[in-house]
Amino acid sequence: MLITLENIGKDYVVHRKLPGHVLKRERTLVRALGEVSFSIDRGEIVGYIGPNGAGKSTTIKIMSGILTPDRGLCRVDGRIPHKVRKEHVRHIGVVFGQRSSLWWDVPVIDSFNLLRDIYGVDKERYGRTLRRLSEMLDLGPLLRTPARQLSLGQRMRCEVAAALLHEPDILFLDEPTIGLDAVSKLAVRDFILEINRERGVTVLLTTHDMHDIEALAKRVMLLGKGALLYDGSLEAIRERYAGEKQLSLRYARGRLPDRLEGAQIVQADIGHATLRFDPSKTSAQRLFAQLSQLVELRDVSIQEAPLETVMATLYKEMGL
Amino acid sequence: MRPRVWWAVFALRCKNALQYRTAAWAGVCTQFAWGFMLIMLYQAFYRSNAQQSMQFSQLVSYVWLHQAFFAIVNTYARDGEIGEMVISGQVAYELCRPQDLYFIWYARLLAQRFAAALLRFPPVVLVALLLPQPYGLLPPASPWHLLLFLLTLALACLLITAISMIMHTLVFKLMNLLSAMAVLSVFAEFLSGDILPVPFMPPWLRAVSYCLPFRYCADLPFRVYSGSIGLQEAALSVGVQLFWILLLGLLGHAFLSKQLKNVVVQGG
Amino acid sequence: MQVLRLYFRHVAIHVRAAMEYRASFALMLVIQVLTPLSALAGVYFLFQNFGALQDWTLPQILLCFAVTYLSFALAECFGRGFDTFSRLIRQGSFDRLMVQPRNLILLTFCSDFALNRVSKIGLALCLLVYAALHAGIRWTAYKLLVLVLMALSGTLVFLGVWIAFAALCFVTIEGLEVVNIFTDGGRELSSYPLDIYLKPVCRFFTLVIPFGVMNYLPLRFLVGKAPAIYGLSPLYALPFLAACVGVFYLGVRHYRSAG
Repeated sequence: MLITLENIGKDYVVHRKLPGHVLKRERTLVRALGEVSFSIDRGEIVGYIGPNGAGKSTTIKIMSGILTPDRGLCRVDGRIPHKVRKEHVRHIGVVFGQRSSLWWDVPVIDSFNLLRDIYGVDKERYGRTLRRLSEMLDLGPLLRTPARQLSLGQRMRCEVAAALLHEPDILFLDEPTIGLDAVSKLAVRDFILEINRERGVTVLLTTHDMHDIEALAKRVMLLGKGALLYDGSLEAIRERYAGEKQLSLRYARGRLPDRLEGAQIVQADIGHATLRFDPSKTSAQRLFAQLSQLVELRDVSIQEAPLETVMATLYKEMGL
Repeated sequence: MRPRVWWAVFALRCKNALQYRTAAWAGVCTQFAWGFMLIMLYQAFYRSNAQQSMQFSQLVSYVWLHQAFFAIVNTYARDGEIGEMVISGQVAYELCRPQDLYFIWYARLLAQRFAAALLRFPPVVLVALLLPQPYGLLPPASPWHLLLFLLTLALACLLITAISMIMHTLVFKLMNLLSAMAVLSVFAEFLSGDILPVPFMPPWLRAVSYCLPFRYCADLPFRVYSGSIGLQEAALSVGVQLFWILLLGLLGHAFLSKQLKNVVVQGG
Repeated sequence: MQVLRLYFRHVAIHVRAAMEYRASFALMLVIQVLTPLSALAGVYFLFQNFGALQDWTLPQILLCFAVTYLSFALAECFGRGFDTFSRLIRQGSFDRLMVQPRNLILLTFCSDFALNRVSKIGLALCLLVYAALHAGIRWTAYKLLVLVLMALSGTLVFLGVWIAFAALCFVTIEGLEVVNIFTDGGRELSSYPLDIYLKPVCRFFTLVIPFGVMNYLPLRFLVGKAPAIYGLSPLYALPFLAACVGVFYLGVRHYRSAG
């Protein structure tokens, strides 16, 4: 196992001012992480989801050596991150989506060169990595531009490249697609898949965009209120929480009745209709059999319930 | 003219500013430290040569009052929101409102100084009054001096806000509140007697400071209190203060209106 | 060596960034000299009134003043990252530094560089030369060395104070305004020789926060009021700085365990 967390816990002390008192403050302990345990294998891409304030960033900061856990043991590639911070961070790349590691007013390439010096990457190797990265992320014209003139999507591509200049084995991405347009999102996703396939980089990403997870991660970890609530495949969540599916059909000849067995008619017009059914109760085959007796089906499509709806159901059921 | 609106803006801003208690405590501590430092410095100077136009006890009162009401006389105080509004172009929305922007902003700036001073002066004055001599603040020279002190201080507050309004309006021209004000503030600070009390200035510089409005914001009230300025001169100075308030108010108002017209033209 | 190279690469970047805003940079150069000039005028006019400050002459006081302002400007120029440390914490930029494989103090020094202080440094240097020539000191090689030590030690003391107070930001996040008493206040206080103040104040700023070792004590030697050994007192800045760095790392430990 590349990364293992055993019963990791983290509390924050929060001082709250008492009303009416000038100096007295109330000290309260806020539990950011209860007891979180998981392990990640080399080469995995894991999606880390959960509502805001669930402790996702705290976990990433513990794994990056920024924070010291109050309880439990965190090991990354045999290292305890906070104990050997300098050594540890040579082997990881971190992207904080909300913050920039690029210098705002100078061309991106200058920031990259500076990062090369900070990480002490040798020239030849750096040149090779940079060429490869700018090819994959299509950075060519961006490198000569000051970061402040880049669009958010362009900047994020540069940020991701910046985190990989020292060729880390592990990449932590904290909301890498936040605020990006569709094209940039796809570019970032494709790139993550590619470096994972090509160099076997292990990726842990947090996101609120379920499509990121769908496109990238076979495995999902759900964090809520400082505890790990789910660890498994996205498919399993979908199956369990997707509930009803939507069936759209176009037909010639025949008429649909007002009611159907095992399905609900959402909307019906002459020639087309939308139905909703629960596959765990009525199989699609039975529904089709029933329909084909009534009308001549020309075209059908079955849509999953949107992922956002699935996750909302899931969060709600978990009490988040 | 909508005095009720100005009052509402003033009251709201005061209420806002009164919430920053921690900042006020930090301010009080800072003021004490500076006060002590200055008094010790002047004490050393007076030890070398006590024949001065200002008695040491008057100087001590000057220093403490200056520290106590620093929030009123501070030439560096600025309202970042106003600067933001101008730079971001938000100011165009302000213009949609039916009130005269000059008075609204004036009320804001006045409230900022007033409320900040309200939180800071009681502890400083109280402790300074209790301090042993020669470090303590002496009672006012006479009830009349006290009365004139309060009057000139109130007018000083109005005057420096008028000056501050003109500085804030400069943002339209320079687009950088910090720089625009920093240059002016340094001169205003010096000429108001903040770095060096006006009586210690050489005659030519003293003449300059008497011709400009800045000393009427700080030097005047603080010296009236201790009797370093006589009652007659103080009464006359009230007239000068009123003159400056009126003149700078009108200038500031005209300046702002002109700049706002440009905003409208630029904004299409 | 490698550390210095890394630092100066960062400096080059900050200089290039500053040059992106030439007009505002030029304006800052002017503003930076206005405040010390105004303070200087204050000192000058006070001397015109009082003639002397205890047994110190105007050029001697100016020497004191120049060392303080030179040190402060140098510290501001190179140690801007610590001067504005609370911003680094608040904006979360410190997290970014923590994922870089270098010493945190070095990274913080690298994080900012205030080129616009060069005008202030220039002004203070001119004043220092003027005062040194008029203070009635017969300069020897040793005395010149002491003068250099004074300016350097002052820079280290200011940096030390910022580094130690930066540690406070780990706890308070906001940064405490009160600490300005010791930084800005310390600068104003130590622009005069400390023996004009009350004994406890003089002692505090010589031993605890040793502004006195950058000008007061060595100056006494330079003007012949104290033996030559006083000329080495600026070296006290080194253990002071070491202690401040220690405090900083205590703060880092707190940050890592408190977020």
